Amino acid sequence: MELVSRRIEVDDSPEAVLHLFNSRGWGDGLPIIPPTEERVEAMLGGRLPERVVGLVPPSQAEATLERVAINAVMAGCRPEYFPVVVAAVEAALDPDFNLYAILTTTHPCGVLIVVNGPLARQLAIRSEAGAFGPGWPANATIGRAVRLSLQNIGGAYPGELDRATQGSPAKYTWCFAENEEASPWEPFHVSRGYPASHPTVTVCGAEGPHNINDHASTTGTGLLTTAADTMAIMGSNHLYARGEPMVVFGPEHAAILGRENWTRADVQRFLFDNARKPYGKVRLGGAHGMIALPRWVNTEDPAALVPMAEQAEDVLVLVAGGVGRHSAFIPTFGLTRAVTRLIGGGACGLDGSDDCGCDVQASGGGLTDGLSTDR
Amino acid sequence: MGLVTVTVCTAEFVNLAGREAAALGMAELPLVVIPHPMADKSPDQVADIAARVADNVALALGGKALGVIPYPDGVNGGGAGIPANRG
Repeated sequence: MELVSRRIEVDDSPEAVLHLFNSRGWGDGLPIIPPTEERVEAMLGGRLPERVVGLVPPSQAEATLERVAINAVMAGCRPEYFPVVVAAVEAALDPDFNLYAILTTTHPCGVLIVVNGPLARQLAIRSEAGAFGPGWPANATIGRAVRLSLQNIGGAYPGELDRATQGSPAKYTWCFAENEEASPWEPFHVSRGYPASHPTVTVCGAEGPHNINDHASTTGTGLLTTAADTMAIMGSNHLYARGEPMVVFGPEHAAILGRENWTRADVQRFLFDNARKPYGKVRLGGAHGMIALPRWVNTEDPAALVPMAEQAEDVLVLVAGGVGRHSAFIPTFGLTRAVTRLIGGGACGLDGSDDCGCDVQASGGGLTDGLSTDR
Repeated sequence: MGLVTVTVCTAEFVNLAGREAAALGMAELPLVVIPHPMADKSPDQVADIAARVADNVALALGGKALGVIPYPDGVNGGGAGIPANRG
């Protein structure tokens, strides 16, 4: 195995390494694990470093497995997480995801990674209480590795080519697993055509989660009314660009829906029908006029209701979390589609059900930079 | 032959547009610069800005100007794309 990234010599202290990476803008401001050759090779786990996952905008530089591995080391990933990181990067490069816009827009979106299948539990990717973080190494480092990979390979650095007006905590790391056991429905990835036993990642160009607090409802209609009202907001891209708004139900809320035999399609339909704003208000601000409304919205009527999605099937519905009466609305960039990929397929070249069996082999030595741009 | 177009871009986004054009092999893509922001401009202000860049659009359409074509008053942003001091 031959790594081709530039080698950099730096004093062997955490402070010196951190200063180097911060001063070059290669990190996210938080401490990183130095990507030594030994660590990068361990992350690769025998995969070919030159294998190309795809081209990352805006620089259109190659995301080789070597570069992704370097960023995964920096993020603190264990080698067994690497296939998840690669699958997420590959998914984000699907044209439907619109990665160029996701990385460079003024809108505050990050790359949300949802993991499904038995592998999530094997890797301890959190799906239960506190799944959105903090506190779970797999969630924290997988999301961070994807963020660092896309930033450092593609060159969309914050304040420069990442033009986010305010940025977002969702840009640091944003990863959780679906709580399939607590869901009254088939797992999310099964609803997207994958067998339940297969591990998948789904990427979404998403904002951070917005709370849906409902302690009072005892019926599905009451709960979904709260959820729909939480979704229908003037400041959301969905009101103008539509796309795929996501709702993640906490288990106690999901149980209400399960008890009353609401199917996922029923929930999608209710949210599509009820998460709406009257046109008389929509026309006052937001992003009105920038993107055409659905033709069936009668703009002569101020009471005509504007939806948050093009169709009911576009409302993404899944389950995560633990005890408590909270769910989450996760708005997206709008001009993006969620993309699901098998973990261990594609560029990673491993059967996703396999444990790659690598050990972390931390040691000193020169650092590899994992970057496509000369900074 | 396809439809002839000109890319018009506010000053804040010129660097991003130029970098992307270069990455896609079109480093000399004409970029007609207008001021930033545009979103709060009145129709009259928009018409004034359009009139001021009309010649630049014509130059770009005619292939007589390449790369960034500055806005006539010389205010062309520049903040974006300059590596920030990150401590």
